[in-house]
Amino acid sequence: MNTLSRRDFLKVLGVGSTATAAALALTACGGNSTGGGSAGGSTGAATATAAPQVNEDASVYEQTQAAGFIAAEVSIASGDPASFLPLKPAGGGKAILNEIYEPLCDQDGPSGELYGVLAKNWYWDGDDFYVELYDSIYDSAKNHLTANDVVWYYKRMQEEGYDDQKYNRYFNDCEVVSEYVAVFHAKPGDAGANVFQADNNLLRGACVVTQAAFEAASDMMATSPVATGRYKLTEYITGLSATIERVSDDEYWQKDLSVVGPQHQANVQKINYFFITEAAQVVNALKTGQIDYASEISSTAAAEFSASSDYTVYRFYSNRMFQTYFNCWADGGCPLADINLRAAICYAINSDDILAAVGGEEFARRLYEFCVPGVQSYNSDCESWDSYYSKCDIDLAKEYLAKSSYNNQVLKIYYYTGEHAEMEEGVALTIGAALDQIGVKYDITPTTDADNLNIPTNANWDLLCTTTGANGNALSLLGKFSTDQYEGGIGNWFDDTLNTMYKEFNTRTGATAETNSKFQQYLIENFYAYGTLEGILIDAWRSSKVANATTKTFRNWTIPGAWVYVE
Amino acid sequence: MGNNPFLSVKDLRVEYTSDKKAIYAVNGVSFELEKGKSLGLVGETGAGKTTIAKSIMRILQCPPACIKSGEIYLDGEDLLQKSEKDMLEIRGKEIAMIFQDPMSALNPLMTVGEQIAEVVATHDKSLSKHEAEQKAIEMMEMVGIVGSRAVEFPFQFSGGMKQRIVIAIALACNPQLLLADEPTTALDVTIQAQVLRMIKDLQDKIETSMILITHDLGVVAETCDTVNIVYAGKILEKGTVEEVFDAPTHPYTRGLFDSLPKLNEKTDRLTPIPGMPLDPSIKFEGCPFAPRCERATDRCRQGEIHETHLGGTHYCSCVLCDQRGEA
Amino acid sequence: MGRYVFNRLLWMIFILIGVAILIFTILYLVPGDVSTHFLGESATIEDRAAFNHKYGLDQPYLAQLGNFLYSLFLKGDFGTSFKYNTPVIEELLVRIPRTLFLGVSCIVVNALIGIPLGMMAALHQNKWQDTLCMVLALLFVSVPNFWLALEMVDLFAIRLGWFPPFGIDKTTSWVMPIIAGSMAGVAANARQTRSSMLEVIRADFITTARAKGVDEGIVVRRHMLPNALIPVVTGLGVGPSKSIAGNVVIERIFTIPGVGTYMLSGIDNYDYPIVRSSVVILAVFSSLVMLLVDIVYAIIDPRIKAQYSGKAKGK
Repeated sequence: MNTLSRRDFLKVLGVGSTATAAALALTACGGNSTGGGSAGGSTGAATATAAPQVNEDASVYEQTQAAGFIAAEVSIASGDPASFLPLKPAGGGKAILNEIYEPLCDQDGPSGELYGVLAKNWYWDGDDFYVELYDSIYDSAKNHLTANDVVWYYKRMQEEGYDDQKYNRYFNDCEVVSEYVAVFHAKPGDAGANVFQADNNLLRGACVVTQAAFEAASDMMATSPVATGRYKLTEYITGLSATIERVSDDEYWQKDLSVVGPQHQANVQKINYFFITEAAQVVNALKTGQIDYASEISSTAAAEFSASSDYTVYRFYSNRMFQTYFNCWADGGCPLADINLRAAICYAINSDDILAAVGGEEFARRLYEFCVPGVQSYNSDCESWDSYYSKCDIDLAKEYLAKSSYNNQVLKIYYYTGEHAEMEEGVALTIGAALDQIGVKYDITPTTDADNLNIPTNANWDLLCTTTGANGNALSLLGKFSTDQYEGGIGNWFDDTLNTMYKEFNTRTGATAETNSKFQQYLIENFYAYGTLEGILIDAWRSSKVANATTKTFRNWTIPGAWVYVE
Repeated sequence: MGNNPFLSVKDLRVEYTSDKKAIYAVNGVSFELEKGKSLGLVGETGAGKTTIAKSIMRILQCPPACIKSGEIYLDGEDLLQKSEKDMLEIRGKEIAMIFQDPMSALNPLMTVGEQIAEVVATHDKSLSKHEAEQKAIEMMEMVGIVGSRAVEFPFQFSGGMKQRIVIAIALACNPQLLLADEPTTALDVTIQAQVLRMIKDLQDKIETSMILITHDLGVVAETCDTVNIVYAGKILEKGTVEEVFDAPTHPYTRGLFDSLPKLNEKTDRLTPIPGMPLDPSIKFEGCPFAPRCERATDRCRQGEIHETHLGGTHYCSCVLCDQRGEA
Repeated sequence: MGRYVFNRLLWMIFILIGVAILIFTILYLVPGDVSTHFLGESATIEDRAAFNHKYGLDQPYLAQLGNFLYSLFLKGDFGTSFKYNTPVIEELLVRIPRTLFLGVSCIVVNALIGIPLGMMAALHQNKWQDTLCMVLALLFVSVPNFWLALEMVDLFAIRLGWFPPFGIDKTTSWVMPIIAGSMAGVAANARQTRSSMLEVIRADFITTARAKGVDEGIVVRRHMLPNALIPVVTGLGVGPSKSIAGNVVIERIFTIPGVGTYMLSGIDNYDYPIVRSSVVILAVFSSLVMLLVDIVYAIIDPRIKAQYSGKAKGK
């Protein structure tokens, strides 16, 4: 399924020219908006779901850069990566690493398709997963990158204790087959080979570097990355700024630029990153011209920029789901172990009210299941199911309440503070108001990791409001139902059926819209959790410089190299 | 009384303003002092003695303390008409003052030598730094302190020595008029004698006139030529020391003398003057002592009380001694 | 005097050990699971256990404390950040000059503006200058510095374009941070100067000075000011240690990569090595600064110098 190389991918589309392919790919990645379920392969037609102001159709923006034109310079605000260590590339401030390092493969946002960057080809053979590299890769120190380096990289990563690629979890070992081919021996069956996206995880974002360069650096490349990517780091002032500059086409190892994916374009010569910590200052910096682009700005700032023709404002769904879990721990004496009480709460909650409480359609959209529309395996049928999502019924709620064993306990509602604190608070308060309507007592407390609410078998909470970002597939939103991370799951369900269903979903062929729907329906029948909202994000950029800044990594990180610039 | 007294104070009135209320500190004081002589200003605390002295030197800060009217002639010139610039030259040089509390009279952060040198240098700009320092050491030796201690700081000296330094400062420029405000009150008796003697010696050397403010009649007897009895900002009785001590006339003066314990008498209780001094914020009429005086009459409480000449230079401001000095 | 300084330095070592134990214990007692924070939501139970083991977080309190103290004091190892994998001391060495510059500049501005303000108020007590100065001082101390900072950015950076809104690349970038950071201190200095001046103005030795015929200006400068400034020096001395640790808000708003933001990021991220080492470094600074202030006292005030040298009051 996901073993198509980029060329095959394009053949499926039936297009030959790179420009158009790039354009279509941009459309797909840009809006993160495809509502249609796509388990594999298709770009998916943009389904118009949504609030009038949210721009789903990124194709209104210029799709390709003028031929031969490389913009001179661009500046953006970003988080501080603080370290350029290639072994652990994850994390918001590390989008800059995406320009410097190259992974074996990268993933297209909504379609979930892998396309190769360092890897030319990859395929399964039973429990063995083979990866073939391009034969002409060399880094900026002129070291040649071979399968030796790949094998060394994964093993080194393990030694240092980083496993974002989940190599250790699903694979036993890896070894060199030939100069450019390496093999990964997966754990058999559901322990590894059969796990959903085990290969995808392995390849995607694995920023392989040469052993020679890595060992030559005294600090594991924390301040001095040497890599194969299209940009190299030229200046770094910790806590303040970093600058990267484009590697010339002659020096770049990949001579066939037609195979380079949309996220690895290099349309600008020099990129300046400023690590501005204060949100208001980011907006100020955009206004004064010190930066040309600001992401995740507030609605008020967005309104200011919309009013001016000097700026372009782009709203899109963030794939961040606001979710509420119920603590169903019977042994812990939690009141919500009683399904009738949970049912009462679920029927009392009205997501439209929650949406209104956080500010309406400018800020979020309401959900109809424990999943956001922008991911694979989303089945839009859920919007017409007869569930508590579509039907808020106070009388029915009260009936359930009467049947339940609720004895005037005060339910403890927690919400996580952090970036989304205000919206979380809005969600919690609205749920509280719903409980008021049926006569259930509660109190609301903000919390952080410190309260250890997510450690297993903790009876000190009843409702937990939190958020999760979605990475490509619905499965990424359902992690807390997995007993790998939490004994019994974060909601202390201790439900074998849930476990089984999750494991089924979490397989290579099992992650489909049907399986997702089955899972979601099980959640709904058992009133296990409530998916409330999906957040909206707003970006703004200077129109005179940037024509299209909608291309992001599959995790919605900012990659200025991939934008389209005004000539 | 000589024809040209060195210092002549005429009808001096000083008021303090505090919170929009007026405090009548000095209410029409007049006296004279001849060159080379010492005048004792005697009175209770709060009588206005220090204010009179500070007025002569014009170092009262106005506000809150302002000289309302009067004339002060020093060697023929009215000090109250002079500009501040002129007064700067007079202070420290023509007129000098010794203060009551030696513990706080010196700048803690400057060496004593510097502080003495400052007054010297201020009045003789032609002196070099070294010369001023030399003069300072001289003055220190004159008051009986080893010259090498000029580099020490005030906290390194005892109270008596600090007072000597203050005296050194006062006398450094050979002032014509020395105002000594209770110079020995803060010192113990043995030092007191020393200091007084020293002042007298220096005074004789340079022929300085002196006003000595004190509440101690004994000191007045020892050191002064003339004496003024001050009460509530007015002078009630004045004359030479012999005149006033031999024949104290004003009831207040008599009260003062009566309250002194006598060596050759045995008593169980001393005889204080009953009552409390006037509230200085009230402008009084007549004699300020009237409320406490057992001989007060109605006439005592009205109008101005004139001075009665009792003979020689002896004057008394009492209604009862209108008839030739008998009370 | 030399012995006094030596004694203080000796004491400093004990104080630092105490500070290290204290901060370590506080961090130890803070609730929250470090591993979950670093490894993310998707980490398995085994992953977390491995993380805790790697950093020694599963050892008992005394063992961890012992290790920490040993590495810090005997090996001079300030630890490596969990998150960034860089040695903390390197980061700190780069950041300290920036914070120091900001802090010291703020103190200088404080003194340059606050002391004259206070003096003017004291010399014209209860007149319009006094009221004006005190109202200004009150204004400065009441205005929250982050609000002032953002308003200044709005006016000077956006509307007028005089200064850049953030960063430290140009010299002009420092103007707004310094002004915003020093405002509250100006008020404190002005008030302190005013009250100590008022005390000194009424002092007896001022009358003595005037009685010497010394010009009033000289009286103010040579006699009043030095005496009035001693308490003010205390205030200025407390400033640097506060400034180095404080001014976090200013650093954050203007994106000045200093010690404050570093510590803050350590706290946010449960990055114990950063927090511990930063606190110890700050303790070193504070102690040194206080020692410096005490030495300055001794230079200004001979009474104190005598105290330090153990000289009895001379005769």
